[in-house]
Order: sequence, then structure tokens, then C-alpha cells
Amino acid sequence: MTKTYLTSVSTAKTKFPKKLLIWNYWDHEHIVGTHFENYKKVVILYEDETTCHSDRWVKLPYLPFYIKSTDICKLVNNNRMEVMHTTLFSIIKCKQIFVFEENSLNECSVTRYDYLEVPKLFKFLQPVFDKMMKKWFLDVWEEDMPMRERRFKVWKLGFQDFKGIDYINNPDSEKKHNENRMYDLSLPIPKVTQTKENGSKKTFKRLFKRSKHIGYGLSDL
Amino acid sequence: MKKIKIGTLNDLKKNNQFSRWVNDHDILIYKFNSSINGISNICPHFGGPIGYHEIKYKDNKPVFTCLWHNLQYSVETGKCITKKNLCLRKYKVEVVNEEIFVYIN
Repeated sequence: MTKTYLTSVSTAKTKFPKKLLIWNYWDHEHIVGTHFENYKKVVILYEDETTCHSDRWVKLPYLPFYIKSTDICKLVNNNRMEVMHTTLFSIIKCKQIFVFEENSLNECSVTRYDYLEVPKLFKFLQPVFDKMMKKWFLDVWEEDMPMRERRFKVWKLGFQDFKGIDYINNPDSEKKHNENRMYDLSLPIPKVTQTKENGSKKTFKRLFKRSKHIGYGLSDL
Repeated sequence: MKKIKIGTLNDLKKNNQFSRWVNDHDILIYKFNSSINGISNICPHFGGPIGYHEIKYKDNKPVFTCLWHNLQYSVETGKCITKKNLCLRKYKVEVVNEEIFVYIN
């Protein structure tokens, strides 16, 4: 059967450095935390500094059920990430290309290109696919935005992974506020919340389905 | 130590907890067993918000669950039960005329 592609392009700008955005995309552990309403389980089958092979149980926009997606995520270079999603017994294959562009102020934009392989007779679904993918991009983007903002904020306050902030941990320690601290990233990101571990395979499960959201905090007094 | 206003009892009414940044400290104020307590709202794992969710229960014990990666902390002690060597700083809290104050360095 002749195949064709449904396509979609989504883009967004941020005030964050590229490495922080890549940290967010490569923090596969947060999928069942931050995005717990849409993901219920992630199994990382293999991961190194440029590749992640995982199974994810996801609920996509407009679909009332979870689908299992096998994803291979590859950081091709510092500016480009490619993800291949395969689902429904390998019948559905969707490729996504993320392009990161950072300006001289260390503010990065992201453009995502989506390609879904379908039999040619399904070409008529192009507008639906485009709408669905743009909504997915926007929903995830908005859910991740406070995470990026907060991560950047604590980073500038001297945050260190698995330690926290020195002047908070130790009241006698002096505060060293560093607005210009360069964001640093080392992949893969260390994981601690797996419920099962078997060699390089790690399982992460969402802890609850629903929650009363208190939120990120009250505004300044 | 400085004594700084972080909110009012009215802020606590709705959910029995709230968090707010004061002087570069993100502090979670919560009511538990009739007392008002303050702990750091910054998860030492990757910096996520401990008080994003309401209090949950694990093995019948109240816990805060970090939104980002589900690390859980005892409401009673601030100790992490997911990764044992992590702990949240406690802040001294004082209530004066419906206003809540915290002591920070």
C-alpha cells in the first residue's frame, strides 16, 4: 500500500538556555510526576548520553484511553533531537524532530516537526493530525513551563542536584546569588525513583491518578 | 535570624498548606495536628515543589510528594522516605495576630 505522511510543525520561544530545555526533555523520570495526568508508566529499557529507548503509557489529546508507545530518542547533536514513536503493534510510526536554536542571550527556541506515516487513503486526516499535535505540544509545553522556570531560579540560587541549596541546608552558610551561573548538563540524568530495576531497565510508575493541586506557591507579598 | 511575614491564617484556610518565596527561601507552611509548621518547599533532588499536591498517605503516614519526580517526605519529620539521605530544612514559625512569620537567615 502506498504510504504518505501527515505532518505538523509547532514552535515556541523561551528565556531559558538550551541545556536547560534539553535537561527537561531528557528527564524521563518526570513524565510520571509532572505529567502524571497523561502518563501512567515509563520503562526505560536503555539509556546513555545520546540515546534513550523507553516504553511509555500515554493518553493523547482527544483519545479517552492509554496507548503504549515505544520511543527511541536520539540527541543527534547539540541542536537537534530525534524521537521515533512506535505504537499499536508497530502499525503506527511517528517521527519527531526537535530543533533547538539559542541566541546570544542564551535564550532558546524549540521547533518540533512531526511526521506520521499512514496509508495514502488517510491523507484526509491531515487537519486533525495537525490540530492534535499542536495541542499536544502546547499542553506539554505549558505543563513543563513552571518546571523550567523553577529549575532556572533554583539553579541561579546555587542549587546542586541531590544536595539542594547550601544556604538553605545550612543556616550559617552565606547566600551566593549568581545570576550568571552557566547552566550545566550531563547526560544521562541520574534516576532514583524507579519501582523496579533489572539491569539497564528501570520502571517508573505514577503514584496517583488525581490530586488536589495546591500549586507552585502564592505570589509575593 | 530575621523574622519575616510569609502569610496569614487566611492563606492556610483553604488547603491547610501554602508555599511562598521569601528572601530566596521557598517555604511550605502547613497545619498538621493543630500546629503550624514550616519546611523548605525545595526538593533537594532536582528542586521541585514539595507542596504542590495536598498531603497524601503512604503506609498510613502523611507525606508530601514532590510534583516533579514523586519523591516523598514525611510531614512529621521532613525526612525523605524515597531517598533516605535527603531531608528538608525546618523553619521556625510564629503566629502573631493572624499573621504567620518565619525565621530565616
